[in-house]
This record gives sequence, C-alpha cells and structure tokens, in this order.
Amino acid sequence: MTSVPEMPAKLPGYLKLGEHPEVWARAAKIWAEFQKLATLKTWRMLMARKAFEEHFAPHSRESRALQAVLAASPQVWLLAVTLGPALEERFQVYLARRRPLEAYLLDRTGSFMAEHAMQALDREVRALSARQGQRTSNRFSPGYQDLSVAAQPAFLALVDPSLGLYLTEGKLLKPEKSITAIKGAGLNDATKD
Amino acid sequence: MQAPAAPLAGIRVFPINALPAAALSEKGIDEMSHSYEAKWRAVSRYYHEATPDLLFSFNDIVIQAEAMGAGILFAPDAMPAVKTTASQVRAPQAAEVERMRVNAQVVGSLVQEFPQRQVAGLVYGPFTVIGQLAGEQNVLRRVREVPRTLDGLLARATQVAQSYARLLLEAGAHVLWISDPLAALLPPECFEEFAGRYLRQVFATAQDGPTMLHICGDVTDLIEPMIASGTNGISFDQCMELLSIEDRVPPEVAVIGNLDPVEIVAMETPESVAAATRELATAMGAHPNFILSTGCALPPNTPLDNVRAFLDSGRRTLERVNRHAAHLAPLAQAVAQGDEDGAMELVRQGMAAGVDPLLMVQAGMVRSIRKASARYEAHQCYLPEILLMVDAFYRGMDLLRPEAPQGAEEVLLGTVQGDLHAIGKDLVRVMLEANGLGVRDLGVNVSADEFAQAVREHRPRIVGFSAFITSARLKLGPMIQQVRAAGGPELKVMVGGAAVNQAIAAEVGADAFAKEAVSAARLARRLLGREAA
Repeated sequence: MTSVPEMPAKLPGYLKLGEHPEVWARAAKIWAEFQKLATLKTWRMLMARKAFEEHFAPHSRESRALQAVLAASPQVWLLAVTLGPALEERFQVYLARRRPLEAYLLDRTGSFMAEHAMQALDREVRALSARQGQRTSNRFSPGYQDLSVAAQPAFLALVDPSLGLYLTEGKLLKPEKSITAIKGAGLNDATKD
Repeated sequence: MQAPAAPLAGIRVFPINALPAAALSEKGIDEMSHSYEAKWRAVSRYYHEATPDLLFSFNDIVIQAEAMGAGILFAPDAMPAVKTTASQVRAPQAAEVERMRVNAQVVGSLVQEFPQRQVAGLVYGPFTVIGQLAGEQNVLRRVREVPRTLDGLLARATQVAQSYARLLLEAGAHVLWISDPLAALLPPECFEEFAGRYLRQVFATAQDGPTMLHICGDVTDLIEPMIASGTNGISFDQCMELLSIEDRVPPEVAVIGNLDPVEIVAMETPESVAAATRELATAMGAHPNFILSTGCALPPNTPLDNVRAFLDSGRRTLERVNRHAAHLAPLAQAVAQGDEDGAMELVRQGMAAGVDPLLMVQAGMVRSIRKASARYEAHQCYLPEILLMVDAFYRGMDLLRPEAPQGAEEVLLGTVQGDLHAIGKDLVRVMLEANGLGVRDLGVNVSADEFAQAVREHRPRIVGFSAFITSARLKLGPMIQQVRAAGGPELKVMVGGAAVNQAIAAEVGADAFAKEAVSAARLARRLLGREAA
C-alpha cells in the first residue's frame, strides 16, 4: 500500500485550517485524495531570446513589464506544469454533493501544489543555469500585469501536447491547476540585469 | 429559551422612548416638552394603541443640560436641541426643575394607567451631558489633553443625573434607563474614568432595582466596560451585529436590541417591518437573555402601524422560538461545531416533535452560520471552519428540504462571459444559501443576454456578477446596464472577484462590492433590507 506523503509544511497555513480538529481531519483526507487525483506533468524549453521575441510577437514586445524582467537575457526558459483535469472534476462533484469544505480544501490544495510544482521546476532550471555559471530572471506569466493572455496560444503551440494543456475561448488555461511561466536565462556577471 | 433573568423579567419587546406619541398630539413638541397635560394625553394615547412591555415618558436628550445651564432650542416639529453651551453651570435638584417634574408626573401616570407594564425612568449619562454643556469636541479634546479639568463638571452632572433618577424612581419607574451616546466616542481605556464610574453612581440610585444602559453607535470595544457599569441589560445600536457579540455578554446581563428604528421601523411598510422583526427575533430569540427592541429611539414621525407591526411580529416570533427552544438551541450548537450527524439527529427529533421546519432552518441552523460569519469578518476564525458548519447545515437541510417551503430565489449569480472561474462564485452561493437566501446560479461564462433573460424570468432582487479576469471586468459596465434595464430600478447589483475592487464596483454602477463569500452574504442581506448598513 502506498503511504501518503506528509503535507508540505506550509500547506496547513495556506489552507487556513485553524484549530478545529475536524477541519484538520478533513484536510488530511483531501490530501490523501489529492495524491490519487493529481497527475503532475512538467515541461521546459530553452530558446534564444530572438526566437522568443519572434514567436511571441507582438505580445512580448508590447509588455513593458515582461521586457523589464527579461532585460538583457540572451535566452528564455519556457516552463509549464499541470496537475491534470481530475482535480477540478472532483471539485465539481463535491460542490454538486454540497460538500463545500471538501471542495474548498481540494481546490486550494491544487492551487498550492501547482505553484509548489512550478517552484520546483524553477529551482531545477536555476540549478541548470548555475552549473554553467549563469543566472535566471524572475518568472513571469501570461496574464500578469501587461502581458496579455493573448500570448497563451503562442505558448501552448510550443508545449508538449502530452501535458494536455488547452485554452478556453477566453484564453484561460485549462486544466485549471496548470501554470505557464517565462524566465530570462543566460545571465552572467557581464550581462546587465 | 428562558425569559430574561429576574431583574428584567416580564420585559420582552419594546421600542426605545415614546417619540411617536408626538404624532398623536394636537400640540407641537415644544408644548409637549413643557406641559404635563399635553405630554400625558399624547403618551397615554400612544400606549393604548401600541402595547410594549416597557414604557417611556417621551424623553428629550437635553433635559439635564438645560437644567444645568445650556441654552435650548424648542420647536413644534422637532425634538429640543442644544442651542448654546452653558456659560455658567448649575447643579439644581431635579424637583426644582419644571420639565423634570413633568416627566416624573408622566411616569407616575403611566404606572397607574398601565399597571401590567413596566415603566422606564430615562436619564442621560453624565459624559453626554457635559458634552452638551461645554461642547462635544471641546470635551473630547480635554479627555486627551487636560482630563482633570472635566472632573468637576462630571461630578455635578452626576449629581443632577442622580437627583433626576431618584425623582423618576420615586414617581414609580420600575427600570432605571441611562442613555450615554457621547460615551461611544471614548477610547476603551478612558471609558471607566470618564463614563463608567459615573454611570455606576447613577445606577446606584436604583438600589438594586433593574437597570438598562444604552450607548449609541459601535460599542464593540466598550462592551466589557459597559458590563462593568453594573447594568442589568445593554441596549445595542442597530449597527451592532448581536450574534457576533452575544458571547461577550455574561448570561445575567440582558442583550437588548436592535432593529433599525429609522431605515426599517419608521420608513418601511408594516409588512417589511414585521418581516425584519421576525428575522431578528428568530436569530436572537434562542438567546437565553434577549429582549427585542429597537437600536435607538423611534423618531417622532414613525407610523403607529409600524410600531404595532414591530410589537406583534416580535411577540409572535419570540413565543414560537421560545416554545421550541429545547430543540433549537442544541441544533444551533451542533451546526456551530460542524457536527453533521448531530445536526441530522436533532433535525429528526425536531421534526418528530412538530417543530416548524423553517424555524429549525432560521433559528437553529442559519443562526450559527451568521454568528460564525460575524466572527470570520472580525478575523476570529477562518473560512474552513465556517464551511465545516455549512456542511452540517446542508446535512440538516437535506432532511428539512421536503418540508421547508422553498423561499424565493432572491439572488441571481453568475461569472461574466469569457470567464470560467467558478470557485469564488460557488462559495458565495454556498454562503448565501447558508444564510437562508434563495439563489439561482447561472454558472460561468454567462452573457449579458443570459443574465437579462434570467432577470426577466425569475425576478431576483439581487444580481451578483463574478469577474476574475480583466476581460470579464471590462464587460461589467454594459452588462450591468442591460441587467438593470431588464430588472427595473429596485434591482440591486453586487460584484466580486479578483478583477474587481470597491472603486471598480462604483465605476461599473454596482450597488455593492463583495470582497469574499462571507461578506457577500452579509451585503446581500443588507441590500435586501435585513441588516442595518
């Protein structure tokens, strides 16, 4: 029997579990259920900056905030994580059964763990860069500040289809517990940030 | 539920003061304020028409300040008001003051005319009186800067208040009532020094007789000092959420209040007054020491039909809740603890005992959700704890649903076209339902035409728009216009979601912005006129 891993230390605080023992008990059950429902998939790609700007034109150029983050980066990492569609399907089931606490806990756990996965992927690419004596910039995602979600189709055109990512009519990323991100790469001491 | 503890036994429902009696007088308020005959004729007529459990003698707030030297403006169509502060402060005996003698005489007449009911002797707190004598801003500044300069004034104001209280009690008043509105502006650490100890001195004139204390406004931070004044009951302003503060009041002190006297009792229809009263009495009736009242004095222009609606609806509802208290209180407790099995068992027992299903919903279950929501908004608990209670609420509702009549779907919800975010909206729906409101949820990606069609078809009273992304927010303004055209001028609009804030809500023409689900439910109740603003 596969044992359930321990909850990440920060998850109870994120979920705002408080003091009620029953809330904690339900959160533990949802955590166990999460292990069965979530199918983590990650993807990364390194591109030359020029190729990035061409592929994401005009949105990347139009975003002053993105350009500030990427700055003089000669390369760009594209990152994607997804936990798959089963979480939101189960969320809907809980809501339909009028179990709002379970629905809330599952949704919030999914959001936390998607970000957790993206942070892990971020660390991975930073470590890769560090091995070459280089640095990366902060992450930036379509939909942040002035980078329009209209940039998402260009992003998804590059992502491995096995992740199962797609966009709604309104360019919302699905499955819901998925994150795409852009990071500047190839920065070294000679490169001005 | 038991009746209030012995000191205030027999007092269940009353509006504060007797100012609506002015409408029953051929004389103006100025003449009523000076003439026993004019005042008595109006007040006795009022209390023959309306039958509260506690009677007042048509009190005006400036009577003590006037006796001590303030200049007063009298007018036929307005309550007396301070015109000039006192250039010289006197401290007369109450028996020497004509208008105080008039009030005492009216108290005596009330005691004789209505022997089955109790009569209040109303005096004003010393801190309020010195504010009228010396100017409120001046007094509040001196509290901070030169506190000792107020000692002499407070001592004399207390003397006059004590003398007046004795006069009213000797005339037969059963309950000593003190109103001290200016004390609401004292910081909690100053309350005892400038109000509390003087209130105790005035209350001492009642010599262990029953007392009540009313301080207008938000007294959230003053509850414990008010209790320390020794009063038997605290009358709360309509701005106070009684469910959120009831646990801070010890069981031997009555919680009194707090229907909005102006926005609801004076201005609404009798039917709306009855409904709002029913709601308040249902929520608070299970409290073991609750007295139903208004949040402040009814204004002089309050229609008599509205006063009667308040009293009749209040009495009927309290009686119903009281009759089934043995089922309702444990049910409320089970929901408060998130005990699903316990809630279901208690619902079964209640149904077997013939308790009205709607009463079990409102007085048993919704009460706990509302109470927890008030704690949440005061940052005293987190959302998962409330959702745990909602789970218990829903389990109870599953049993009650076949029996409890479906309420009207008063709220229509949806996420704006192009936006698929659901959880925020879903939690709003859950909290609205747990607050006893009927909801129709249109789902996500809802177009303006769909909203408008739903408004025309289902006639909700509130439409709630959820917008989590910028593109959805940009659609809000025109959507709201279209929905308002479909729903008419009475329709209320709420907005919420990550793409919206208070400023955007105003820009797009919404009536309210809900930051999150718990406050959304409270705002909805306010928009429906079920909570004071």
